[in-house]
Amino acid sequence: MADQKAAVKDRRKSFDAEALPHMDALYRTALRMTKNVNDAEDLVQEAYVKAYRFWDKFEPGSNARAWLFKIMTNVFINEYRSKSRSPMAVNVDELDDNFLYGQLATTSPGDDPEKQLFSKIFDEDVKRAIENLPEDFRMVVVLSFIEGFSYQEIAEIADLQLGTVKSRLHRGRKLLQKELLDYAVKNGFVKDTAK
Amino acid sequence: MNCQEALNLLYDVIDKEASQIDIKEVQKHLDQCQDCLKKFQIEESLQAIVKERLKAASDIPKIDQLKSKVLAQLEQIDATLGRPERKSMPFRVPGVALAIAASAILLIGAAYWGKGLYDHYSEYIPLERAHWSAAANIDGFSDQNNTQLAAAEVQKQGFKILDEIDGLALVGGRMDEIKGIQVPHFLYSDGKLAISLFVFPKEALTIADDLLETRVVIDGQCYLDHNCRGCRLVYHTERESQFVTATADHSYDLLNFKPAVGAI
Repeated sequence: MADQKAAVKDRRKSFDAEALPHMDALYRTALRMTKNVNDAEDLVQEAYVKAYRFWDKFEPGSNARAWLFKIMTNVFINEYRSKSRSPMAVNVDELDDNFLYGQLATTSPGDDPEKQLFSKIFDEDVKRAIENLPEDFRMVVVLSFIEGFSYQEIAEIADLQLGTVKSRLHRGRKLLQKELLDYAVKNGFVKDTAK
Repeated sequence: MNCQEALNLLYDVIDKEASQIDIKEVQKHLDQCQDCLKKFQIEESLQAIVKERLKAASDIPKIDQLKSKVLAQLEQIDATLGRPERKSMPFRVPGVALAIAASAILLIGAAYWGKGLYDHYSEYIPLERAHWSAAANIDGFSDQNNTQLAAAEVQKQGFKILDEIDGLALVGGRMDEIKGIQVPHFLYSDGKLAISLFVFPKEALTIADDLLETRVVIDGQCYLDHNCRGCRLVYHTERESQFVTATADHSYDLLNFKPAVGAI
């Protein structure tokens, strides 16, 4: 019994040291994925409970952060993702890869047109733009942009093929750029040349 | 390398995923092609700005509360681990757990994690979530048509929805999909406090075993009180219906909120 207690204590100690420091990052991503505080807190809690229960499966010395994200992403996909997922409303393929370049080059000639544009867009607008992304794209964009995971890590976390990660990231970026540019045009920061 | 080949590698380069050979080739091309160079520069600084803004917008002010909630749950698990009678749980028997968990643990794991936890996610969370989303958007309940529709559903079960219960006024109601069925969901509020009321046909709602341990009898009526985490739920049966009330506000004693009394 005493041995058992000691084992529980050791297990807990290593979990506290390796897993708990990543809570900020998990919560940050959970907020972007669920889009609300209650669900995000719930998601993080569920992820930690699961992670703790499976702590014996974690290989010491491997990437605890990616492991935790994998667990959380899985909980999200299985339990939180909206049940009636609407099919992609935007046809991303219509977006020319260089549309932003074209827009910026013609509307704001100067050395750093993109900087001019973004100096006027607030953090909140970027946040809204990312929350407007379709779920599948949002997930890979958040994991890449905010958390800095590599393509391979994202593939493992979200259980996707490497090619799928790349294409979703690519489309996600394009949608994000389009959304921000639309916002800028709407607010008169840049002129609309698309018409 | 031509322009198209270089641009195909644009994001790989920006994301630092390109191989050394590719990077060299792209660099060679950019040295001779002003147009591509400009495209790379725009994308690169754009990515940097978006990432920076996104990180700033995603700053978490504080997670102390969340942290203490997580710690409390870990404590609870530790406590169960110390109890010898729970030997059947897989994490107490690493060999078995390994065998079970080796394949697709994350997908099918829930069924093995001890019944209590699994029940929680399947039994309570859908109700808690429905309440949270209602409390966060009280105005979404004031639609007359939806309210009448939900009230009619309850009337079929022989109950009338009261305009006021324990000093809280009915905001309105609507049909919500919970656990795969359409359930009348009503919201009561006094402007600050929000309480949800769900009315299930009795056979549609399974009562988790652990709920029976928390029974409270008031005036001959039995209430099952589930008080955990962010949301408290109280169940009680009246004839063929199962009433569930929910609130996230712990300053109010949900047992004072008795929808079935006087509503028959």
